[in-house]
Amino acid sequence: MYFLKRIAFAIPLLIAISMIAFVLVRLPQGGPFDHERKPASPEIERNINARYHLDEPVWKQYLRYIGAWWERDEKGEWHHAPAGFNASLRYRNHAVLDLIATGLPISLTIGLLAFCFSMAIGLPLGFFAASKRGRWQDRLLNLLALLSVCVPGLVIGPLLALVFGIKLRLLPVALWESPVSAVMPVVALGIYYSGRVARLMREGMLSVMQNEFITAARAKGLSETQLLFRHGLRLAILPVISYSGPMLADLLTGSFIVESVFQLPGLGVFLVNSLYNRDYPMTVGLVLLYAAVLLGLNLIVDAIHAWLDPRIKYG
Amino acid sequence: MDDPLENLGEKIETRELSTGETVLDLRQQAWHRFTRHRLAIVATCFLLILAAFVLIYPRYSAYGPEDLSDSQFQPPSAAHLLGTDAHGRDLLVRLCYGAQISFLVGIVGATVSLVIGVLWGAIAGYAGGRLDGAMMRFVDVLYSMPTIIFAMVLMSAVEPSLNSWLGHLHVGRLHFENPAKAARLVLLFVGLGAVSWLTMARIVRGQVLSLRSRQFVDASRALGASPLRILTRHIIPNVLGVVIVYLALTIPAIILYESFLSYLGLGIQAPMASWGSLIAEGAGQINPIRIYWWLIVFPGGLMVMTLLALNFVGDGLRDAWDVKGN
Repeated sequence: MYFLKRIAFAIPLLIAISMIAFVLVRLPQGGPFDHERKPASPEIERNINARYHLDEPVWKQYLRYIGAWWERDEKGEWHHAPAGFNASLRYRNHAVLDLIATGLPISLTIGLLAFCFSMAIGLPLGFFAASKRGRWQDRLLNLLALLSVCVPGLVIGPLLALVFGIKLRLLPVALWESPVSAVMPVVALGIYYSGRVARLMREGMLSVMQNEFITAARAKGLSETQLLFRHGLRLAILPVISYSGPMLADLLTGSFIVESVFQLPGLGVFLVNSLYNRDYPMTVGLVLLYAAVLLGLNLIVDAIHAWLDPRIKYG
Repeated sequence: MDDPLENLGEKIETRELSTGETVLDLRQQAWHRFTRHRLAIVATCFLLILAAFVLIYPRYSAYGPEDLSDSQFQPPSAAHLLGTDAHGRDLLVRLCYGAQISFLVGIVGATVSLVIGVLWGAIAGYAGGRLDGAMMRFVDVLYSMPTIIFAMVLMSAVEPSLNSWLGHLHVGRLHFENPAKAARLVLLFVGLGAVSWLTMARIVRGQVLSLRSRQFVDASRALGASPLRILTRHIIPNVLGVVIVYLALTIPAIILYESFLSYLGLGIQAPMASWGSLIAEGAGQINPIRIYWWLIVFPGGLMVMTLLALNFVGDGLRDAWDVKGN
């Protein structure tokens, strides 16, 4: 019931986001065609503006954009105006949805692979650090985790490209051609999150190991390894799970830096270009997609959390 | 002295005095704890030296940040300590210049987020009830938006009008020689501050909410203190520690955001520089024939070291103010 309510709340929220984004993008003077050759005459300019309805007030443009606008022709009949959200003003012959469909798989692949990468690195290292608590391995790993949080993709990306792409010629420097192309972007994107996961895992383990049932189990003669794996791990992983939702959302919506570094034709590149070019159907479309991803993931994580830990009640 | 109320007043008076003392004490304790945090001290020294260096060095250097020359792509040498870039500019001077801008954006942006966040959180927490619910629901809604993307859209939307407004602005002697430059900086300050205040508002609101129902606040109210006095005398001093800690953690986050935007060409514009735009220039020169490693390693290394130092300082402050214990 609670989740139904949240889904119902998400729809007006998305509409509000689309409105804000639309008004923000359409507010400034200057249109999508400013970067092109100047129109030969004012009449031509006026015709272009009329053709793309850039001369109408913003609210009318918005209604037309979402396809909720009817207009009258000369004979006085009402016609539904075609929805504007699907026509990119930059890539004239392509629909926004088609462009998104070409970029989405790339961004999705990188995001999901980076998710797996940071879990595969972060969980074991965090677990190991907790088991060596206070010793030099623990301190070294702590330092590494902190370092990884401070190395953004735009620093590690070009460095990786320089070393593995150009110096050693092991991996392709850029573009999206073979599965190997994904290696460097995934590492550059995932390294920050692997540090976060390792720290969360370590802290989770340490706080679980202070519980009384652990002392009881230890008193019963369980070995330390058994303790860690059998009793510690199950509870210690909960903070990581609740972080995994925001993390996946960040990975899916935040890959534009890495896409730009490695020149991958993903969604991020489309977003940046659409902002340059004031291609507003594209911008608003992408903002909506990102917001929907974020809302959906948050919902799913809360549901998983409620299912894993029955003590949690929403309402 | 038989009147119990009179007596109560006196007790409260002494209590208030003693809380004033403990605030001071707390601050001293915090300072002691901070100085015991060795990494945080090292990091603070590093940051201070770095800040002094980037402010002073460009003045005494033979090269200006925008001086073009024919010696392009020089590797590090005695003449150019960190080499030169694609236009023959001295990288060390560019780096100092970029550091000034990155620091400026980080500090001012964090201050903007601090002001918005503290006001929002304090008002919501102190008012309580329906206003609190509405304000916090608004924060929840903003949380569910992709922040950096929103900052990008916001900045590209407001820029043209801000540009022309600053161009026409004459306030006394304040007049912008180059409105486009000023507009970029103002946009970065406000845009990044405007998307980073949410967590601050939540933290402050939680603190205020718990402080509001504490006995010493009740006592002060019973003595007829105005809400303003309660806020400034009792609530804000007690929230200060958390706010300082969180401010220290917001600065690196905003420096990072700024570098993202500048890397994409949406932040600082050439010929100005920040760490993000310098790394972007270096990354643009990656080619299979020659390797200009210094164009990436130095800006990137300096940025990573600064972020690391800022994080150490933040950790040290957190331990010093014992924020988790609160």
